[in-house]
Amino acid sequence: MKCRTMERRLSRWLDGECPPREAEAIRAHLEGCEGCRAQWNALLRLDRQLRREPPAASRPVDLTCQVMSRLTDRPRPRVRFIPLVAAYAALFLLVFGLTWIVLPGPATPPVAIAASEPEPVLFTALLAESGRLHLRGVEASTLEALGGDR
Amino acid sequence: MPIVPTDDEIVAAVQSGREQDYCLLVERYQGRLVRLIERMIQDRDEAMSLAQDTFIAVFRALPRYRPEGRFAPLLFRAGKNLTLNWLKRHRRVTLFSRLGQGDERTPCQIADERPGPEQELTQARRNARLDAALRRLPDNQRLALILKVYLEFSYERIGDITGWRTPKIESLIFRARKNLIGWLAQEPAGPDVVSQEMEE
Repeated sequence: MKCRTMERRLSRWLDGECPPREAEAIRAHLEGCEGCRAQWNALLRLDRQLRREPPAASRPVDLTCQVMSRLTDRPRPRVRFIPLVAAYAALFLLVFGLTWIVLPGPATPPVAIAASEPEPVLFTALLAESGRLHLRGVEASTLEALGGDR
Repeated sequence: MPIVPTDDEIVAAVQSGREQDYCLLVERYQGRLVRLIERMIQDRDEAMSLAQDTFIAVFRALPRYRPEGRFAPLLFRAGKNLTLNWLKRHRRVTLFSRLGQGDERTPCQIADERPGPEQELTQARRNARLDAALRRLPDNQRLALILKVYLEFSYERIGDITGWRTPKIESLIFRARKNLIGWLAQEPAGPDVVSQEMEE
């Protein structure tokens, strides 16, 4: 066992977390190593000092009443803003919709539906004009007149 | 219910509607919880308040609790989280207020520079110096050391509370001790605590 690794082992040993075999090896090392023994003593002194309770810590603690009273004084569930707005909006729409359906609306003049003429159907025709080819939209009658195929 | 019910038995009673039984758990753990928090933040009143908050938070989490004997780790984990959050908030406020005064020292440095006459090496002063040294430790090191030394938890139990693995816990405790020994040996005002202890 080397001194370099002892510091960490000593801390673990102090915490009672060393397996028996390792603890035995540490003990054997300490017997023959003054430097590591000094480290061990420093660790022990620090531990002793840490475990001395300051006066405040020795005062008894009793939180039972406070905790239990806080548990019984539970806050009421808060009404969330967004659901409230949504509820009002739904109510408004319901009332408005019912009014629209039940009440007769203002008399409106009948709308005359004009008979619309059918839109002319256009075909794309490949025309040869003065030695050049053109693509043009032509009506069916024109296409027939030109002797083209649909 | 047996004379000394287990944590899980008490939790089961609370879950079934006997909320007043929660006081048994408060009585059982309040001392250790306050001790942990007080050692971490070094403020008795705040520690009591944070411990109350912890018990309330854990109570509210009980409907989701499964009886696996994990109540104590759950409680201490909640206490640790609230404490670390408190430390973060408190440190930020202290730092800002100091910076506002043109003082750029960190709270830890401020705490560490408490002057003290050499002749007043009483027990109270030693505790104050040790407290100052503990405050200088990084939160993780201090938490690991407190859980081990003051609450006497095993590494395994500390792992349950903190979520750290054993090598990390071992390393944190080791470094905490090394730091404390080093800092206490460097105390400028009078002989260091370790030397004093050796003379005893």
